[in-house]
Amino acid sequence: METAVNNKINHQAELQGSVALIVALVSFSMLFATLFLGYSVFRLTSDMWPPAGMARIPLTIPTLSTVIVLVSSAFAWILEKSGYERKSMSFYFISFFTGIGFVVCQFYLWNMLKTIGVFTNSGIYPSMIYAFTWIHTAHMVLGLIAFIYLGFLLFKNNWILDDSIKLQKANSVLRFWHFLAVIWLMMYALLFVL
Amino acid sequence: MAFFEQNIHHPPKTFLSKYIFSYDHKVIGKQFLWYGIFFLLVGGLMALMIRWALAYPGEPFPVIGQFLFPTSNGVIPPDTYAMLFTMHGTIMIFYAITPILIGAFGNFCIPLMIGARDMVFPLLNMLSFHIAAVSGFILLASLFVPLGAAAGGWTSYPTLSTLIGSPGTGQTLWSLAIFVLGVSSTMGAINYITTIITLRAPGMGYFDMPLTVWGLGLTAVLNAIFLPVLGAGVLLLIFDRVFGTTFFLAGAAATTGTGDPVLFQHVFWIFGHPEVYILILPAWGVVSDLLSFFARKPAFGAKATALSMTTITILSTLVYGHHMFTTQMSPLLTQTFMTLTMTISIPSAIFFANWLGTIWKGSIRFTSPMLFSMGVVFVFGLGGLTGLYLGTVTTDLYLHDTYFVVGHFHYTMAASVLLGSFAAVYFWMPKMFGTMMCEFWAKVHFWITMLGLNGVFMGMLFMGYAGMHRRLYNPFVYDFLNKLVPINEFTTISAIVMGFAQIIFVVNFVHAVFFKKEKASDNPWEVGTLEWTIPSPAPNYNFKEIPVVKCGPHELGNPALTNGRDFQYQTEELARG
Repeated sequence: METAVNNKINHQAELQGSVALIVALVSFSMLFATLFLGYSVFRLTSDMWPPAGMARIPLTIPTLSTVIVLVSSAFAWILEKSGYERKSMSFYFISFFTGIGFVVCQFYLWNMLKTIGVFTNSGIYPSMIYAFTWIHTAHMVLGLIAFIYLGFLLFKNNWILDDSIKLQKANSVLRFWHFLAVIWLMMYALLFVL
Repeated sequence: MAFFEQNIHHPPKTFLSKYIFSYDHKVIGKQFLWYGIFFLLVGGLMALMIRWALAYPGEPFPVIGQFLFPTSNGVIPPDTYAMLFTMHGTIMIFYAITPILIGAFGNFCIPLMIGARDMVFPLLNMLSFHIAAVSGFILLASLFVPLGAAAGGWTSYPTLSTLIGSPGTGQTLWSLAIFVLGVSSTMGAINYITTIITLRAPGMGYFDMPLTVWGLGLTAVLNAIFLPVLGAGVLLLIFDRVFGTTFFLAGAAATTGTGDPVLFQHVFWIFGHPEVYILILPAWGVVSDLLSFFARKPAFGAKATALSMTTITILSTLVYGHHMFTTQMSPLLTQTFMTLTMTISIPSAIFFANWLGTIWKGSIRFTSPMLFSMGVVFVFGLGGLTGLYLGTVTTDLYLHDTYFVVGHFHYTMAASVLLGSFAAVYFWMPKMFGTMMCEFWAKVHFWITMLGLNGVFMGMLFMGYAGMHRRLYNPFVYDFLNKLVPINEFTTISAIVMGFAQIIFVVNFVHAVFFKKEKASDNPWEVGTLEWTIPSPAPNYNFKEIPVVKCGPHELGNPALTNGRDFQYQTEELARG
């Protein structure tokens, strides 16, 4: 009887958690989709790209960011697959600190842009690079705050997430993290590479 | 749907936990209601100022004019006029209608009508109100900054809204307020959708939900998808204004490369057209239910009504281009958008016919909620029909940017939604606050509002058809508009009458909430949806036992009723055979 009730509660938490997460991710996607819509309008109507004879942005720092965010996402995935056990604590910390590393990288990127003389008001291409990375980094900071929350959740429960409400919360944090990594990949490809 | 465990909240003990930091969806609903009514009065006062300037240009605004505009001797100055119509639109759409219908009644009705004890995420719900409060504060603060509030129209088109068009922090604060409000509404939407999907009482399928919940649910879907689009738009606008990016600057203003002011229009209307359905869908839902409840008949074609509302929700995402026929789109595009727009009239006609079918041969009880609902049927009919002229490219090219547009969207978004909100307030008053509002004064309120409102918006349609443009400070500097002075005076007098009629509502409402001794019965309107099975006002845990649903929401006058009443609670089974 008790297991039946528990199963019911588990099912409820999973369903509610996933519905809410799906709706939230749809909302976030629409925000970024709007940015990419703007990008495509400018890109498709521009005679040359980058416009007005601007130089391309050196790829070193963006590529480094991409590698870092992929590493972070990969370790987050391993953390989830390992079932949040104590022995996978290092995965949590690697993922978290690489996340911080990504944000630091973005600051280096903005600094580098400033040094090579690319400012927000230098036209539409730099505008997009700055605005898109600002918005994405703001979300990464949100993601890091969620990661700290995940840390609290794990340490408070002694690295045993035995009920599915907690498990759902932990999984949601990581899914948001993967989502941001995917958005960054798109930004990297569209803004810097292509 | 599986039956889910739901905890019973402990009743809050302190003032703060009961009224300010409440997790209870009913209290959050009431917070949104007061918030909305406050902004409704602010926005209404602004509307009166706009109307005054149009009917009596150059004359000081009576009574408070000297105090508000001392430098111009009480006359509304031209730049202030632009701020007034901008802030009137913004406040009414985002800070009055949205909080009242979606914030207040969404929060209040959804859990009660689907038989849940609260929303799925009470904390998120509380934050959603507090973030909305922050946003309202930012918006009000923007009225007091140097160079004044935003003045680029509620649509905030660049270049009116860039630093060139409106220097000063007013427009920046406006954009920030809208972004913050968007966050709040998105949080609300996540809550509504999850609640409707997972917390319906056992036995309640989607078509057993009252149509109010359908309307609110579809609104939440549109909110979750399209508010972030506007969010991105205003963020880029803020970046343009504060950090010097060049998204919406064109030509010489941008030093290299080019921005595109029209891009903002696209982004705005991708959000903006669903937004008008965000505003009207809850009102449609409420009216569909109330017509059935007070005609004492099942809602005619309730399933078709629900499905046509869903169809409209989907179609509403595909028609935004009809706001931009005059931006030199390719004719192929304008015709496509026109065709899609016209398609919306099919589902609209279906549920409109269903409304008429519902009251056809009903034994109608002309209570105040019913009067307001029938008012919605009338004004929405007019509003919908005038929409056809604006959705058609050929007529829109002439009517674009005239008062015909203003009249049209006031009929659909202001008149219908306002009357729908009043219907909802009068109807759910006993369940919200435990008292009934005075029926006599409610009916007086209805008739004066209805006449005043039609005077205002019909007048707008006529003057627009005669060619008067919107947003002009003094249209009568143009000779061809001089003949429109009398109709402008008529419209303004109607607006003043309608404005003063709202005092009746406020007095009636405040009296019923705070001073009325006589308690309402549990089911004063004799209807069978779940919220009427519990005491009035609703206890903090809503349902002591989670109800089990056995029939639909509109089983009024059904021959298979078993209890000798002409309605049946949703927890009761219909007779078989």
